[in-house]
Amino acid sequence: MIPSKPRFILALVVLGLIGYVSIAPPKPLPPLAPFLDPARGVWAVARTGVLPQTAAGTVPGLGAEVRVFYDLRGVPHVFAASERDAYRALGYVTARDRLFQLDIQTRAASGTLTELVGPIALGADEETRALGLPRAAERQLAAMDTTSAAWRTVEAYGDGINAYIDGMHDADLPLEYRLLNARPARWKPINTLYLLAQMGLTLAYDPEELRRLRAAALVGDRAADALLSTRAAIQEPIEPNGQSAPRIDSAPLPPPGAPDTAARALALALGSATRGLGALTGRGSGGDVTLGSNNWAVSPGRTRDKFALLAGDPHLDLTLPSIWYAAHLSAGGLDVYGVTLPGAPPVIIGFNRNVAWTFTNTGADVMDFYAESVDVAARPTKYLLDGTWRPLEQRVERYRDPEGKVFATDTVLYTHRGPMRRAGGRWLSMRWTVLDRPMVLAPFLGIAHATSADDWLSDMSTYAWPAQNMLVADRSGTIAIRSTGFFPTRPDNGRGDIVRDGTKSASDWTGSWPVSKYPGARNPAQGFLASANQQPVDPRMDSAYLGADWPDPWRAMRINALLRADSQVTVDDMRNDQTDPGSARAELFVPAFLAAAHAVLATSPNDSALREAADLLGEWDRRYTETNDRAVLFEMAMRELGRRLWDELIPPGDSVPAVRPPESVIAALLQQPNSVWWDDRRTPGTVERRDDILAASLRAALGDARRRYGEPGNDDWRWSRIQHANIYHLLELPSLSRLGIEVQGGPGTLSPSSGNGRAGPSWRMVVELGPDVHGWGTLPGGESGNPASRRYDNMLRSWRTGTLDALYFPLDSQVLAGAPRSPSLTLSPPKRR
Amino acid sequence: MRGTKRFVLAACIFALATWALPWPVIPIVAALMVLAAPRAFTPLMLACAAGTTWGGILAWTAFSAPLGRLAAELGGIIHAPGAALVVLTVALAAGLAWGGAEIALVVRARAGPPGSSLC
Repeated sequence: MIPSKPRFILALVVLGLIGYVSIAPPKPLPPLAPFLDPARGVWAVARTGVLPQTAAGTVPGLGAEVRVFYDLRGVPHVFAASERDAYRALGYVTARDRLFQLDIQTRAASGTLTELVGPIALGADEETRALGLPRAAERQLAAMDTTSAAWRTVEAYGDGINAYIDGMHDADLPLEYRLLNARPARWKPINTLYLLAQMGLTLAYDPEELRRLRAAALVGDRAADALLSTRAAIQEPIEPNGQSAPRIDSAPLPPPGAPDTAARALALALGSATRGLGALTGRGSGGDVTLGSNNWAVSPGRTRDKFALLAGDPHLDLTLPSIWYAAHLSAGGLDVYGVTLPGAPPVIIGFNRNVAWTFTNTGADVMDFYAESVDVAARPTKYLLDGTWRPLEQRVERYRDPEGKVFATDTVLYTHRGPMRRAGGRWLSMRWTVLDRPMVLAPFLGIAHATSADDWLSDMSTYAWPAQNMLVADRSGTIAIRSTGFFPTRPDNGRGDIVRDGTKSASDWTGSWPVSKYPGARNPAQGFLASANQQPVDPRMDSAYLGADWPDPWRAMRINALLRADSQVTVDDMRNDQTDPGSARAELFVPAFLAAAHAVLATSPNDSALREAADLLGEWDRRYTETNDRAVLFEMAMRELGRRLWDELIPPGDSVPAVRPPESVIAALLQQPNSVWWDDRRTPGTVERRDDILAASLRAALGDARRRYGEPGNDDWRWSRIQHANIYHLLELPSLSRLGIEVQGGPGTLSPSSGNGRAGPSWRMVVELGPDVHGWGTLPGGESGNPASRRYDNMLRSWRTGTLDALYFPLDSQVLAGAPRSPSLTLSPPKRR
Repeated sequence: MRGTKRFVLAACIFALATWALPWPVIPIVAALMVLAAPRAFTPLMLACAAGTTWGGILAWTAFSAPLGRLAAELGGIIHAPGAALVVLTVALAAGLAWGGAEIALVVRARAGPPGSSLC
C-alpha cells in the first residue's frame, strides 16, 4: 500500500475531528467516542438493563452474606441475617437500580444541582438555599445522636450505596451521567436528611397567608376569611362526626368588602418572596395545583371475607423512575414489604406479617410568616425583637460548577425563626416545621416491626413532619387513623394564615398539639375510615386552628359514598374504587347547571344554545371514563363558572382571579341564589343571580368547546383526547418519558387527572389482613431507572388500567431460590487479607 | 480466501482490544497492524474490520439485551431514528481505524526503504 498525501491529510482531519468531539466536545454534547464505545459506552446501558441470572458484590460492614432475589415484577427481596445488613443491602440494590435518581434528588434538595448540570440550575439552587433546607439538614445532623440505632441504619444504607458506586465498572454508568458527561458523587449520610427535607417541601410547603392576603386585598378581611375559611364549606371529615352524609355549610357568605390596601402591599411582598418556591414545588405560589392522596380501611364486619382491608394511593409528582422504590426486607425479626424513598432506608408505606399502613397528606398549616424590622433596609445586620436589636445570622452560599469552581455566591439571612427575605421593600421571615423540628426516622424503622395497629400508632407518636393522615389496620381487625405531625399552637386567635408582627416574641409559636388532641379514630361504629386530604376534624367537634383553605372534599365524599353503600367489601372492590370514575363534584354541580338552565329557558324558550348545552350535559352519566364525551363540557362550564362568579377577585387590569376559593364554597353558594357574589360586576345595570351565572357559564362552555373540539359527538370530545397522564423522566427528556397516557379519571375523582397530568397516584396498594397478609400494588413505571430496561415501565400497564399486581411476599428465600427466571444477587463482606 | 482470513483476524483483534481498552485503542491497533504487516492489512480493510467489529458487538448486544429500545430512546433525544446512532457507531470505528492505519502508512514510509515516501 502506497501512502498518499491527500489521504494522510484526510486521515489527520478525521482523527482530529473525532478527537475533538470525543475529548472536548462543544456543550451540551457528550464526548462522542466514549459515548458510542460499544463495550463501555452508552450501548452498555442496554446490557445493564437486563438483570443477570446471578451476580455478586461486596459491601463493607456486612456481618454475613446477604441474598437478594428479584421476582417477576423486578422487585428485590432481601434476605439478611441482621436488620442492619438488610438496610445495607437495600442501599446497594437501590443504587443498582436508581443511582442517578439518588444523586439528582439529593442535589436538588441540597441546592447543588449546578455541580451536576452547570449554571443553568442556579435559580433552583438559590431558591432551595434561600428556603433554608440545606442549612436545616446540616443543623439536624449536628444536633443528632449519631450513635443511635436509627442513624446507624442510615449510615449502613449509605454504605450499601457507596459499595455499589465503588464496585461499578464503566459499563455500569447510568445513561443520564453519560448524557451529562458526569460521574456520580459518593453518598453521604446527610443526603438522607436532604431528601427528607425535600419531601417536606413537597408536602408541607403551603403559604396560606398569601392566598388570604390576595383575597383580602380585593374583597376585605371578612370576606377573605369566609372564602378561604378555616372551616371547610363541606364537612366530610377524616374523624367520623356521626353524620351519614356530607354537610354543606348553610351560613350566608358575607358580601365583598372594601379592598384592603395594607393586605395588598403584604400580598405583593409575600408573593414576590415565594414566587421561586412555587416553581420548586411544581406549584404556583398561589397553590393552584394540589397534590392529594387517598386512603381507606374497612373493618372485618363490613368485608365479605371478614378480614380488615386497607387501601392507599399517595398522589405525588409522576416521574420516571418512580418516586418510590418497592422492596421486601427479611432479617430476623424484620419482615416488611413496601415502598421506600430512594435515599432513605425505611419502608414508608407497606405491610408486615401483622399490620398494613399508608398515608395521605394532612395539609396542616405549619408555615408562618413574620414582618420584621431591620437596622438597614438595604443590607441588614440586625433585627428588632422586643425593643432589642438582635444580630442576624448570615450564611454565605457558594455555588459551584461541575468542575468545582465557585461561580456565584449569595448571603441568606436568618432570624431566630428561620430564613428572612426581602420582597417589595419589606423583610419577611419564615418559621416552618420542616426547618424547625428534626425529622425523626426511628418511628419509620420501628413500625416495620409493629404487631398491632396500636403498637404502630405508638411508634409513630414522635413523628414530626410532613404531617400525615396515618391509616393502619391489623390482622386482629383493628383499623385506625390519626393525623400526625407537629402542629404548632399560636398566640391570640391561634390563626396561622396571617402575617404576624415580627418585632414581638409574643408573636411566636407557643407550643404544639399533644398527641392526644390529634384528629383520629379507632374502630369507628361506621366500620370504615377514609381520608383524602380533607379537613381532618369537623370544626363543630373541635374548632382549634389546624389550617385554612382546605382542599375540596370531592374524593373524600366519593369514597365515603362507596363505602357507605357496600357492607360486603372485597379486595376487588377496593382495587376498583381506586380508579372509580364517579365524581361527587359532578353529582353536585351537574344538577345545579341543569336546573338553572331549565329555569332560564322557562323565561327565554328561544335560547337554543342554552337548550343544546343543557341537553348535552344532561346526557352525561357523570363518570370520567376514557370514552365519555361530555365531561369536557362540564369542565369548561366549571371553568366559566369560576371566572364569572369570582369577578370580585380579579385584580384591576387583569383577566383571571388572583385567587380561587375552593369549589366547595361555590357548592355552599348554590344554596344562596340571591347572594351578591353571583352578580357579575362587569355588567353594570344588570344584577345576575345564581341561575343567570350558571346558565351563562353552561352556554359559554358549549361555544368554547365547539370552537376547540368541533361539533359535539366529535371524537375530539372524548375524555381520553382531552386529559392525559404525563410521566416525565427526571431530565424531562420526552423520549425517556411516557406521555399522553390515557387514563380514567378527572378533577376530583379518586384517581384524579387534571391540569398538566404530571401528578397522580404514585403507588397504589390494597392489603388484606387475614390469617396471612396479602398485598396488591403497582407503580406508575417500574423498579429500574434504566430506560432500556423492561423494569423501567413494566408496571405502567397495570397502573393505567387500575389492575393491581399481586405483591409477592415469601416467608423465606428458598421459595425464590428455586424459582426459574428469578435473578439473584449475593452480597458478601470483603475478604480479609 | 487469504483476504477473508486477514479480515477475520483483524476483526478479532479489534474485538479483543475494544473489550480490554477504551476507544483510542482502535486507531492504535490499526496503526500497529499496518506497521507490522503492511501488505496484509490495508487502511480500507482495517476500517471495514473495525466497523464490522463494533457493529457485531452491537448485534450481539441486541441479541441479549434491549438495544433496539435504547437506540430508539437515544434517537428520540436527538430527534433522529435510533438506527442513525448505530450507523454512527459503526462509522466511528471505521474512521478511527482508517485514520490510524493511514497515518501509520506514512510513518512507515518515512522510516522505511527509499521510494516509499508520500506521493
